[in-house]
Amino acid sequence: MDCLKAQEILSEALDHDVDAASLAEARSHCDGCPECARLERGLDVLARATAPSAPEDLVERLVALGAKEAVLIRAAAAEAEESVGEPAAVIPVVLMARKRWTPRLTAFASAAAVLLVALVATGIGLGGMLSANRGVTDSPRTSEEYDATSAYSYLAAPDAEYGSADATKDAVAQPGAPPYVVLDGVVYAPMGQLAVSPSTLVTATSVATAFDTGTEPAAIPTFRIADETGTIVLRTAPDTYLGFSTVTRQLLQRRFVLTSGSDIPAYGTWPTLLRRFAVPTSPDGSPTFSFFVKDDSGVLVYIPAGGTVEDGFAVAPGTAPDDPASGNPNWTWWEPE
Amino acid sequence: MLLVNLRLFANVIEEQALIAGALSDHDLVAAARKGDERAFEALVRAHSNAVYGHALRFFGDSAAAEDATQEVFVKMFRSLASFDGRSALSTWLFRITRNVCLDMARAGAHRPIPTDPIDLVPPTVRDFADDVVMSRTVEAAIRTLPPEERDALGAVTLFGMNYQEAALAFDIPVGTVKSRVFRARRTLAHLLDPAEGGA
Repeated sequence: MDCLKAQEILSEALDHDVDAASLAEARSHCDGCPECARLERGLDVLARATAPSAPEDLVERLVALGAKEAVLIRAAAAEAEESVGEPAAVIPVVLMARKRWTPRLTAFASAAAVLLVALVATGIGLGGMLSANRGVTDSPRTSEEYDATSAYSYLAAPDAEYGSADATKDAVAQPGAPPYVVLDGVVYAPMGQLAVSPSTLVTATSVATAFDTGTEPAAIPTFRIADETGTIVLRTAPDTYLGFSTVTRQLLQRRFVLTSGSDIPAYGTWPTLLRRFAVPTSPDGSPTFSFFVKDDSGVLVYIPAGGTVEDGFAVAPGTAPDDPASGNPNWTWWEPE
Repeated sequence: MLLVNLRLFANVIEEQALIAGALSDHDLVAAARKGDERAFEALVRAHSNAVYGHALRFFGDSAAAEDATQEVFVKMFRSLASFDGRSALSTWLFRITRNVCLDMARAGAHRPIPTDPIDLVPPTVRDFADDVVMSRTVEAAIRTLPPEERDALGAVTLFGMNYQEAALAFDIPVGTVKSRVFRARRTLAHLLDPAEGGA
């Protein structure tokens, strides 16, 4: 056995069980090798040394902190249980919300359909509306698109999905926010009208958006495109699809996509931090995040306690004008593409 | 009635396990999430030495190490809901500890006291007869290690991680962890050899 191998075995033996025969051979090697014997003595000293201990008063303070945290958790749980135990106070609110939304969604559907007809008739269309924001050119409409009132009954369909008042309660609508939509928590920005082959469409779900019509949101059938990640299409009329792509940024040679913890019911709504994260109370990201690294453009990147950047990262408000999070007053979360 | 008795019995068993320290970290986290303050206490007692030890080796100052330890546990308590159990708790806690220490240093809240092997007072044989002196000497020697070796050694010896867990925590290959730990020990063995230190 050579010196390096013997030394590695002696070191590893301090961490976990090693093969007894190999250890015996390594020790035997040390008997005849002064250099390795010296290492063996040093390792023996290390093995006998005691690691630092936290001072007892510190431990007591930490225990007290833990007790306080436990009280808070129990109080929150009790509050939640109390809410569950008071159906008279809670359930009617939910039902009312649904009742309130059902007729409104039907009305939104009609309004959206009428709006579509009007836009199409004037040659503007949703593509034209998008072009104001993203420089998208519109294409001529077919006669089928004029029959919007009957064709767009789906606009009222996902009442249950979009019926909760909670769905939009923490969305932050502010002028200046880009024309985003959100699907499965991922934010998409418009690309303009796309010519797509129906055979390449993969059914996704619907996206609830009012675009920039200023009306209430409607559910628009939405599809992913086979073999094309990062792109979705919203069917705004038969055979008319608006393309949307993910909002991305690069870090460590990987692409990450912008997410939102709240719905984006209309253009001009800022994405928010995912709900699983508490909004940081300090500009340095604490207590939710810790600073991780500066990206190539100098944006500070934060990760959750105990997290790794491979799982995603957060960006604080206040990024530069050319940044994909520019202008957003909220913390944003970016997930691996 | 039987169901109630079974639940009570389960609670008693859980309580005894908690008192006896027989619950795993994952069980303790689950209990803490429900607001069991004994679980919080058990987590503190199980991990405070490792966290404090890492912080002390990082800063070389006990006051800074105490501040960092407190910050780590505050973060840990508030993030328990996000601990998904895919990795060992020690791995997760190690990452929090490392990030907190780096954050504090970057923010200028505490500065690590620089150490140089040249400044290390060579130990004598007599030093090793006294456990307290020996441990202090070892800690001083550990603080002279390159940070990546010191961290790898701490992950394995303070936080009790195996090489695979440490590799996950550092996001480096297992072989790199092994070699860092080995290099750290080899350096320390030389620094701590009384013959080298002049007896």
